[in-house]
Amino acid sequence: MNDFAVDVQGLTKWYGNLNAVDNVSFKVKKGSSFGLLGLNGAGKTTTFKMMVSLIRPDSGTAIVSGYDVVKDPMMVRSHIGYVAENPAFYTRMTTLETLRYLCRLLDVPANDQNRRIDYVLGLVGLMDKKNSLVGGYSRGMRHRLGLAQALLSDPQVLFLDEPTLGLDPLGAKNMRELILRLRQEKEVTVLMSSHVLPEVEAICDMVGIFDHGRLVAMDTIDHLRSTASESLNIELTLAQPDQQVAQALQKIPGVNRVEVNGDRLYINALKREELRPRIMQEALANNAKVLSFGLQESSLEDILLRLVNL
Amino acid sequence: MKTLAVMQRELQENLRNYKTPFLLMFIFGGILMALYTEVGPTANSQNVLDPFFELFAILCPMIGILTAMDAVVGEKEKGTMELVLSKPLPRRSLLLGKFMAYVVMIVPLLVTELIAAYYWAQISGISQYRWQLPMPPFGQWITLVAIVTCVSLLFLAITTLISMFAPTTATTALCALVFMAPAHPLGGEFLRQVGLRLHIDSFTGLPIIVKFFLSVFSKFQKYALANPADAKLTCVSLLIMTFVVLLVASVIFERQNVAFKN
Repeated sequence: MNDFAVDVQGLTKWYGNLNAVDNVSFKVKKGSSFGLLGLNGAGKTTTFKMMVSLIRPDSGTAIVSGYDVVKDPMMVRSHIGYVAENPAFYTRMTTLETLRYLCRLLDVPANDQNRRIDYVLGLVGLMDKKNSLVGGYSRGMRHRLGLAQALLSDPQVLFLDEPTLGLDPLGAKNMRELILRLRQEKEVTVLMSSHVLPEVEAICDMVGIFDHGRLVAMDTIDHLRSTASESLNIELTLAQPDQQVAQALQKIPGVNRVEVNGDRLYINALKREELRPRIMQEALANNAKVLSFGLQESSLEDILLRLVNL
Repeated sequence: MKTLAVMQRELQENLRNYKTPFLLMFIFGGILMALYTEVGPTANSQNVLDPFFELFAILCPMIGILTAMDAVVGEKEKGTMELVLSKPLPRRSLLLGKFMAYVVMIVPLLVTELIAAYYWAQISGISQYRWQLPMPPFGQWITLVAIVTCVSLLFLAITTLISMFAPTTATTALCALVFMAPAHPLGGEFLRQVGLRLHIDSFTGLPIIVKFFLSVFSKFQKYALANPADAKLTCVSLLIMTFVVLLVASVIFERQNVAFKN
């Protein structure tokens, strides 16, 4: 039995002379969540669309839920849910009519359609909008309906392309909580692409970083954090500003730079040597009154920008 | 079943966006033009079929174009193509469902309105009053209805095919009109020139295969109105051509890399 919900091997796509996706390979375990990160035009969305069989790859294979996206696109689409970057619907249809239509396309038995529709609408909080025209929906509501339609088929794998793009902070938070709830309750495998890095950190176990169509890194966020940089940042808070301490710390071999901002010192030091005890000793030796001493972790944004060489 | 679902949704959409009532008024306007304006019969007209046919030879392609101009490109423009193609819906079913919806929309409209026009012309006596010409027998009128309906279906299919490649709905309509506009006058002239060179002055006696291809020309269709066997052949030929265009469209659409809006 295959443990992977998604198995991508050598996926490549050309648009004229542009190599939009260049020999991308990765696997995503069942029940896990995987985030695709990258700048605009990095190839995330094209990779997504190939995985949901909307675009044919020029070469390579993608097996989703056990089915090949090129050989068995209909089976792939039966077993996945897909939410596009800007979910669009027929504006003159009501929520109920839209979901009924999509149920028919998904071969949901007629006697089960109402139950499924009520379930997904309840999940996304649109039950009271069942008979409203979709044309009157706000962006946030369209995103929620997008998620509702993706869940109609009770999917094994959920593809979310920028699920909170354009949502206000509350809408984004609600969407994030909904995705996390789905992961916990339904054990669905989630693949999402996003620019909102805290969102990816909150939802995903693993991330893949795309740059110019290539997958340049793939790991857990913690591991990426520990390996992506050769240096670490330490923040030292003193009782009062002290230039002498800063100069002393700068002389320690392995310390790259020390920046002073009032009573705070920001120290960048080599990671390969454990310099933290030495830094503390040196500060105390210079009669500094240390109020706090902490490690500043690299944000996912730092890692992303570092890996794409910006 | 999925084709039926697409058809029902398309019908629903076209009722709610007023396309169906608009088409009803468009055909009604065409009938009024034929009955009450100077688009009248010529000196050698036998009956009022002539003005009707001349006008509907132009209007029917337009009915097909107006109906199907947003068939594929409209879904791309709205962004809903991505939604439906992410479901297990074969692309040919999407195309066929839409085409069936268009057929269900325009065939009853055309047939009902043209038959109503026949009875109105008889009751009101307009043909005698305006042109001093008799109304044709009802059977001949039905032949006219059948031929113009088949012409509309062919243009539905052609426009659907064009809408797969055009970047916008407006471009689809323009491309289809550019294709249609010279077809009527140039087609007639083309046949005249060919007839002159081959010393043929009548369609009578031509082989069936030749008549099959000639059936796209309005000049031949007009001739067929008075010849029941050729009228049947014209209708069958137009339906076969419609089917072939649809088949080509669905084969291309299955292989096409659709450019999605998002």
